[in-house]
Amino acid sequence: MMKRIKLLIVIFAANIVHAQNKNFNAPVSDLYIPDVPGFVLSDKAPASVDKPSNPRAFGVSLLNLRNGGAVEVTPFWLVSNPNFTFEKWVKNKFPVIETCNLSGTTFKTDSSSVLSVGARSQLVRVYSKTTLKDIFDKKAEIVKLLIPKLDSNDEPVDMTYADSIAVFRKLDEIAELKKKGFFAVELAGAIIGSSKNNSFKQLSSERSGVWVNLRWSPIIVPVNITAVARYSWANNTNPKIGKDSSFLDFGGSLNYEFKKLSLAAEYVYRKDISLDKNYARFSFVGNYAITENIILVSSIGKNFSNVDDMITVIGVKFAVSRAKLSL
Amino acid sequence: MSVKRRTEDVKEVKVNPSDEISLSVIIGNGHIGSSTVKFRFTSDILGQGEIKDLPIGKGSAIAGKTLRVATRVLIASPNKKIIITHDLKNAVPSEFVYRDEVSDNHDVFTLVADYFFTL
Repeated sequence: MMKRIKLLIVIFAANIVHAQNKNFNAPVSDLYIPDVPGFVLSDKAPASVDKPSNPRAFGVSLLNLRNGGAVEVTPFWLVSNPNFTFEKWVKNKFPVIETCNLSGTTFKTDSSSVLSVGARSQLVRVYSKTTLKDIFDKKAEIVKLLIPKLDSNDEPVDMTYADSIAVFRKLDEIAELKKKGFFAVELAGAIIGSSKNNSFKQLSSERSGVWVNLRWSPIIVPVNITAVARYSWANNTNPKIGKDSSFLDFGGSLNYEFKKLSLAAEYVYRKDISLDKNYARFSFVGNYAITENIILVSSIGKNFSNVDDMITVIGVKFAVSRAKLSL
Repeated sequence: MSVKRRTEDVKEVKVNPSDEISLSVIIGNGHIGSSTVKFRFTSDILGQGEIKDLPIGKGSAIAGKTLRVATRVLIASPNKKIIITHDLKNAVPSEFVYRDEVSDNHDVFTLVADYFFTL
């Protein structure tokens, strides 16, 4: 019994994080373009987001937005495209229109009304030949499973439960295949505005931001490489107050995942244009899964600020979910 | 997952006796589909799977027969709308477009369409 208690004490002791700066968050992949740039700029994560699937629903969502809420829509998918086949969708190297996503959110505080809108799109998306072949092989397997079998009256027989499960499993496998062996360039932008008199009629823009991402995920090695350039600036505010300065960021990250090991490194160079100052941030995070729910974590990094900006972390993470900490 | 089925009324199409008729099935909106094609009340299957330029027969040979095309579609893109085009080359009319919608991304849609050929 005493041995078990000692073991528990050791495990909990290992989970204590030794950090020089408690406010430093191990900077987890903010280099990726956010799914909904409008929400990020407003620093809001709406609990529910309207995702209308047809023009009428989109109109209703826009009307509801006036009373507060969030909406996200990809206009291309609101209408039918009879000749837009699965092959065209996957082989399309410039899916600008197909991936153009618009997002908006409105909310009111005690003294102001805030509106944030954003847009994002993939300018370039190229899958490797291997990935394309794997995707179309999976698709061929789905087509085979989907073939309608006809009974003696030429009526289609419903798919068996086993076939249905197999089809959706292969569809999930296609989604996984799309995450490897590709190169993509993404562009996003957002603007946030507010009015001081709690009315949307007198909105003025406060802050804007644009992101450009380059992502490369080679098929041969389990590595993801991301490069980012982003610019955010304040509108109609005094740039000298620091927090609302204009920032120009350039950065890159490298992620490596192999079996139980996950390593990630990230570097961001920031130029504060308003204050004419330069900063840099780097971090390195390593995870090793001892078991499915116990992960050894180590991290070292430096934040943008010049005071209390170093961090070293070593510890054990007890996971209640299977998500890994990564950059 | 739910299964949605739609059965269309028989459609009459005209053909010339000397023309070769062929069928293509186009699944739009980025989805994945598969079909079975046969003449009704016969045992022979003309084509299965993806159907592109499938020879149906000469006009004189298929006149008076009914072609059954069963098409099953799996939602594989963000669009829940279904759009299926049956393209009967050298027939009049030659193009039949079917539109529908499912409520969930994990639904399967089946369309049954019959074409009766006349001279």
